[in-house]
Amino acid sequence: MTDVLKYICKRLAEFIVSILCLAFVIFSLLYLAPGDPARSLVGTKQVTPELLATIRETYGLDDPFFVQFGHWVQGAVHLDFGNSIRTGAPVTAYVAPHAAVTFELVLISLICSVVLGIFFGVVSAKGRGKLRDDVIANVSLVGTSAPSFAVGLFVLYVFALKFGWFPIYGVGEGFVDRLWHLALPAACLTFAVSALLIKITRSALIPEMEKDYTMFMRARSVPTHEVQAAQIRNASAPILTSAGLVLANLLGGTVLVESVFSIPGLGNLLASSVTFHDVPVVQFIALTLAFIVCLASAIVDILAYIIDPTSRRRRMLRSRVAAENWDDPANPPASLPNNTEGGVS
Amino acid sequence: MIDLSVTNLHVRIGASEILDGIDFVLDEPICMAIVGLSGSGKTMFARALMGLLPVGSEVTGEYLLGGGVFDFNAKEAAWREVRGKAIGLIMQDPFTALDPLGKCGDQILAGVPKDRKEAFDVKAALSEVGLPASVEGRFPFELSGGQRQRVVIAASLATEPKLLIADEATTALDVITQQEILDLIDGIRRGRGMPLIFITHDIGLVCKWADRIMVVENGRVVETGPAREITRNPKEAYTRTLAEADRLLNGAVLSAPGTSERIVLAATGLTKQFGKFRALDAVSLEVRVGECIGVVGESGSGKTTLARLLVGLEHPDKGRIEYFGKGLPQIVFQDPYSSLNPAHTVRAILTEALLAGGSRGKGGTQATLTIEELLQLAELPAELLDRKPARLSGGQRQRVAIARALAPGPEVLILDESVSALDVVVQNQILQTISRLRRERDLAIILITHDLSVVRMVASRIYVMSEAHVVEFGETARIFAAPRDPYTAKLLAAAAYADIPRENNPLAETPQDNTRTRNEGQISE
Amino acid sequence: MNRTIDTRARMPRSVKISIGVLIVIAACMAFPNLFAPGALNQDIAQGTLPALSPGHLLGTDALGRDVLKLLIAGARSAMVGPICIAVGSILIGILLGTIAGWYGGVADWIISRYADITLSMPTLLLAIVAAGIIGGGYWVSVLVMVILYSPFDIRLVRSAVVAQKGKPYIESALVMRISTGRILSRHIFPNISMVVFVNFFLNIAYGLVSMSSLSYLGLGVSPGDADWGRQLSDGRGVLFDNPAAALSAGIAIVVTAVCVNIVGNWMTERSSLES
Repeated sequence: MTDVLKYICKRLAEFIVSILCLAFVIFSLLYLAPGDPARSLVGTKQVTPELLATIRETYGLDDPFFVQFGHWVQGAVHLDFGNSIRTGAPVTAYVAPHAAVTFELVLISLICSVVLGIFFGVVSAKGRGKLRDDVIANVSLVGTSAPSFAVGLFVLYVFALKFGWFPIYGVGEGFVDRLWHLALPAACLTFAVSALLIKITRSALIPEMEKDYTMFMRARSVPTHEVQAAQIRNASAPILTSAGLVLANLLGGTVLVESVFSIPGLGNLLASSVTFHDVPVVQFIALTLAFIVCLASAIVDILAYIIDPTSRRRRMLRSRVAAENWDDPANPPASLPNNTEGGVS
Repeated sequence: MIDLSVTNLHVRIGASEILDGIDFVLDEPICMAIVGLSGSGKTMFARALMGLLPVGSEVTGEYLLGGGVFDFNAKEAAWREVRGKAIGLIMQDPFTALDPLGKCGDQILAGVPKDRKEAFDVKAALSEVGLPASVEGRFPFELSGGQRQRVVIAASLATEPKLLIADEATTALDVITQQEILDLIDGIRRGRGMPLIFITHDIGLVCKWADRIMVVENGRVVETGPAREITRNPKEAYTRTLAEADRLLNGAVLSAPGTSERIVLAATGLTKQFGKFRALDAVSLEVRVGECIGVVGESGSGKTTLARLLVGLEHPDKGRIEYFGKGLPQIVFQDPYSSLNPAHTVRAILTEALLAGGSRGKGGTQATLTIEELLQLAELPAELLDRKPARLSGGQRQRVAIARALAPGPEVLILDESVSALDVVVQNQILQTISRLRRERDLAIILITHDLSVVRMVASRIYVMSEAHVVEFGETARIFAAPRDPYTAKLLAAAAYADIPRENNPLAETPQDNTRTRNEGQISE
Repeated sequence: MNRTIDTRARMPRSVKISIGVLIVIAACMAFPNLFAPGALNQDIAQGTLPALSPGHLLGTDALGRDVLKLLIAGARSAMVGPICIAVGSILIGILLGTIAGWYGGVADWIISRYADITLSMPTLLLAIVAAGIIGGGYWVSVLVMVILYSPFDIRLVRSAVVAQKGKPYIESALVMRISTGRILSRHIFPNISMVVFVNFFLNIAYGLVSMSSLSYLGLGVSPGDADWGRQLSDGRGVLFDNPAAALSAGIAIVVTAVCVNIVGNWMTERSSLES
């Protein structure tokens, strides 16, 4: 059990470092943006020297860079990201109302993607070499290659403009109407993300089907569903740990899809704030989304570690594996530390 | 007990004929060995019997099983009557045959038919294969190779098959474990009165365990008959080659003391630690000019670490290596498939090695050798020069590796399991080449291996290693005749050949003590 | 040995078609003026024409420009960025990946942690934010992408180098005291070049999707520029009058990315069969 705890600590430390790095990059954006940061923070208001001085004062712009970063992180921990340049309202209050619709969109797409992606991934792997595998593999190839805004525009044209089955923009009132409005954008996101999951599932599962233990199970007439369960269990680690990638794809895609369907969500707000150079809003949204992605990766990594008994004991076992393989020229000791690290990825 | 008969079995995968008209009958509870080199089709035969051939195989032939006719092209559902119920399979590699994420108890139970599951006693099944009841809740990775193979056997027996197939079931294991597993399988077979199909490349094992032999080559049956008759008096050329190869390994001796008393390489007190694991502990060793010494031990004993230290791939934590020869000691590794750069031709490989020897060799080795001479030394035909490794056989690759190692003009050559991945016939040819090099070029050879028959053939002195120590060293003949260390004795006993009844043992013709002098000249010339 | 000959002989039709399409796109990239002279000339008087109008196969856009010509002219802007991204990222990957894989130790630890941390970040999101806020146009976007893509390549090269490093033929070279530079250039690179090249090639497809996403959002290119992503967002305004203006650009992106993927996957398959 201590080993699990050790891993959790290690992974959480990695998570905190990632978030700090991200925060640093995102914070630096204000300074990387061309022009005087104070001026950027004034926005469209009339610029007077007094106003600039006040801004410098309140934001501490004359402090050393890292002191400012420290203050910013301190504020961020208390969810204080300053005021929006466009509206002057506190960033969190301004952004919050946009979050609900994005949350719904992402949740619907995520559920659909996971269900469809894993289902078709398994079907495709099971029927490899057959027609159904070809069809699924090709559709998922298009799904992973096609940018979501292009797919979005296509379905918008066909199903909303041409056939008029779905609304062109907006989010609708009430549950059913909302679902109806979100159907097309969710479908676009699902198409892209489930394609990715199909690919991951398929390529994780096929090697399992060719392994010796599969043949040995077949040689004993173990029921087919049990054989498949074993294969899926063995393939689950790479699928589970791809969750970070999946979520990153999903959130990146949301920005574009919301913009195609004019959905007033976080993505759309982020895109428009980027063009308006509303830096505090951009910082807040970017950090929030990145936080979610990093947290999700950390959680699934920990889950995968707990599920997999071999990784649970990996550390303890390292010495024993070493003892067994030391004299095996295929595993020279020099590469052992590398292999154990790299083997997880 | 179940009758099995196969007539005119053909298996074709793509364009290649894997099995070409095999006839096979097994109608008494005996141990039937199928012997052949790798690629002969023996494993595919076993798979065909269980409907486990790769997807896309074309199969024809008649299959009679337990009195009924069975179709080789039957659907998966029909094969369920055969797999487990009629025939049980023990696979080659215990490290991959079990589901890494399943507890051993569950895996043993998985093949048991539903109606018997309730009553099935996993602990009894474990104790039958000599495992403690606690293994039930263990994962495979927590067990050693031998223990895993026992779990595999228990899982195969759990379905109560009437016939057992063991497909190279001990090849992946150490000699001592190998012996134990073979004893176990044999005991179970006799206890249950069950026929066993024993598939192996090792004719030495067959002598000891099998009642009948079927020899396969290129998908055809070359010879079949009682084991004693065939091993003693093989009729077909192929069987003869197989048997002779083995006889040579076990009886003939190519070794001789060093050509000079001068010590060319001396290691003293070598110690190497990897993390918490001590790979070598105060190991000392010396080699004289033109001498071949053997370093023997099981995997994990530290012998490969020793080799890596001697050629400078690792540095010792303690101890000293002194080399008094020209050039630098060179090494030939085990795996013929990765020992050569796949992107280079033989010519490029040898040219680079010659350059490395000419420019870097200390002690004034003039790169006097040419590519042609290297080819001659390693007995390679010149037409291979412009081929890449992919177009060479395993034996040819190892010869190129030897030629490359000779290029810098070393006085010491280390062979780290360099022949173990090859077929016996090829092994012998290469060992003869090496012995010739030793004699003609005064090359000192350190032969590192787990295979006792190989050291017995070519080494004049042996170092036995176990758990990072040298437990015993001395003259080869003395160690084989009167081992002093209990571990050495155990190792020798386990080498399957040691206790073959004399009248059944084709290898027993050459007494050990005086072979060296008698055979040396005649075989190696 | 025979198998490789087989696979080479039997190049699937989909791969042949994809290679053909990519050659056409490469030609458009290299000589836009040859295929689409005056693509950026406007004829506002004409207004937006639907597809299949006389003289304008795909109609015209909001500024009255011929969509087909724009599409051909847009190939350069759409593809040059992704190619530069792939090149830059693979160069960083080879440099840092080789250092990490070959030398190991502290350098490996630092480089691997850097790659791990960057890999867990949402690439497209960061690219949008960074390119948008920094501004500075097309090449800044390319630079941001190179930085965000390189961790994948670093990891790939690192693990390929590590896999080769432990092989006996490399150890034999070490025993012969062959210099590190020579081992890397003569032994390791020839054996990892295929994996690296395939990855480089596939990165072009991902780069195309990422870059066109940025230009769709108006980052890196100005309104009215000939660039597939930009044309798509420009065309969105005239979706009623000439749907072909937006859809054709979308199809161009999808088809190109799919073709690159098909060829790349086929190369992966072939190289894994050969080894």
